[in-house]
Amino acid sequence: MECKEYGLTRSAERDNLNLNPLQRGGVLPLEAKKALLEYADGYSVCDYCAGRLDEIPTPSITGFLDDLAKFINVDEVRTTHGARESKFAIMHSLCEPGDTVIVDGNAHYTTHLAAERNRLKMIEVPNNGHPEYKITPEGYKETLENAIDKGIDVKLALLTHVDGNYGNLTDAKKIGGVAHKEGVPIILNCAYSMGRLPIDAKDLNMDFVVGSGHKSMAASGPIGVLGIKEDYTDKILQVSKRHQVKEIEMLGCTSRGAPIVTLMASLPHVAERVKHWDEKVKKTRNFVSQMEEIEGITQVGIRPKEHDLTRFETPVFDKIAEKHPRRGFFLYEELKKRNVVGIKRGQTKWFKCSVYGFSEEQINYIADSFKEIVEKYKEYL
Amino acid sequence: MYFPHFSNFNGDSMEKLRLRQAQLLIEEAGKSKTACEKLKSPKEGKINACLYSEIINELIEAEEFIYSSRPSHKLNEKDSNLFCTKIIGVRNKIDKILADFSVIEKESVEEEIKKLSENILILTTKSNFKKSFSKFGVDPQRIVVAGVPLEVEDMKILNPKIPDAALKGIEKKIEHVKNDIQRKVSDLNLDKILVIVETDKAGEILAKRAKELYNANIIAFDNLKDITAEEFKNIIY
Repeated sequence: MECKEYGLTRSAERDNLNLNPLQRGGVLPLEAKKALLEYADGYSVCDYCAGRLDEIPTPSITGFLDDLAKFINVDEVRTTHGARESKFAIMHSLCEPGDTVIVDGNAHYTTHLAAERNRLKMIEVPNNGHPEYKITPEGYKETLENAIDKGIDVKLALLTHVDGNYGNLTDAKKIGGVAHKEGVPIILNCAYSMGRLPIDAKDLNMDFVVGSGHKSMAASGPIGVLGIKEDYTDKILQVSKRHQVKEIEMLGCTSRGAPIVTLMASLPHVAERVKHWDEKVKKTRNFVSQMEEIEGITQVGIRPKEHDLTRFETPVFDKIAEKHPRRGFFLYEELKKRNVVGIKRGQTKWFKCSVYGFSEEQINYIADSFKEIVEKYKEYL
Repeated sequence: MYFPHFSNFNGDSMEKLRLRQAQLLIEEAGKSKTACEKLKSPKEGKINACLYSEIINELIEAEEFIYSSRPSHKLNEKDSNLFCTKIIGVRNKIDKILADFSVIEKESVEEEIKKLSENILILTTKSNFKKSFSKFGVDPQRIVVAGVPLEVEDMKILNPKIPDAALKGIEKKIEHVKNDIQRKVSDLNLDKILVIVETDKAGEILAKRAKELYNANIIAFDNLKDITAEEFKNIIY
């Protein structure tokens, strides 16, 4: 058989500044790149496995999980294939088909799929609409209480800590309190927060926290984090009757090799960087203010920004696109010429972006690039 | 790059083709170097896997400069220095691997020691140690023999019966040794002090003080006379 050319070279990161929010938190630090080479082979971490991934002593996955549990302040932690698998495992353990879960209106699509795959009904807490799209503790309380008043047995609640559309940071602590008051266990989806900003599950009143190694913890994917409060460990980490060391919800073992060693190698780097979250937010706010100097660009979502993921409404680019011979593709192409990538091709009405991990100089360069493009096509306005 | 000789290779096995390709590339690379750096065809050899892994890791470290300098990839003088030092380090290691396959001349151990000890001041306790180190390739200017400890009170540990009058002379000698160390570090622009001594009382006391005073690295042997040039190279590497 002759295989096709798969195009497995990627210079995008070396040559360009990639603004796709999805890309920013998964960039590997030096230590992880070195570890990746050492453990690139399929079962590379399994030489000393006695049947359980989480108990492997060499490399010290067991030691790493202890550190990870401390890092997010949970009683027990496992790695999974991703935040979505973590959510699925919790729902699967705690709910029966037909049960109801409450989720916020800004939840990631994988929250919906995890619930659907478990055959659960969902009740959504709406956001407060344009321009903030905020999920408030009051709104969450109202939706939950209404459901209970209607006699619905809400089995589980889920809150998206930072959503992937607006980059809104929710008040997890208050909402965790709301759920607990009604006796409903709650999951915090930290895919966009764990590894970027400090997470203390207990302080945030959470029974479960889920994270994403490849999205925000500087790891090669796919790998997720599942942090569990002691009350639920037996239920979530139940072992097989037939294969007594194997945990059922983990289907035995989860991510091995490159994903877990890069997550391990990155933990010291990640633990250090979350201490500087305030600086990262400051840089984002500076970027937003530079972008808003352009007439026809407005940041939507909570203001001022509390997270790096930023959504802009950009009628100015949409107007240029109406007259530009390349139509909506002009923005992507003009940015590409300036080695700025990550804004979807054809998108001009609005876009999401992030400058997380970039230097001040690089952020200024990005903002200047947008300004230059508007200036270049000002006759179209 | 176009390889005109390849037109005759159609019937050859892929392996031979690859080997020839590698040889041509090496010849091409050799042409661009100065005469003394011409590359020869590889002979049988053993891959130094440890060194190879170090090269990869150092290249990964150097790669960070690509990301921090995006999108222009221009480096200021300070970063240029850091980046090029890494790349030169890699080049030297690649040279070692090539030397193991006789592609380039292997440097004599003495030459290597000379290079490795360029930024080091070696502090030792006896003149005959200095002679051995010089023979191994260390520039004698970079060696200081401290026939006395670095603090006068240490002399009393070495010789509790030493009369106070004799300590006066020792104090002078200590001053001389310390001045010598300082002058050489400054004049020769040395950035590291290495104490190489035998595991006796005098060696132990000198090492302890040098660590305190100069943050020196310590290497102690039971018998320095038995050490080979190769071993010496490895300890200063």
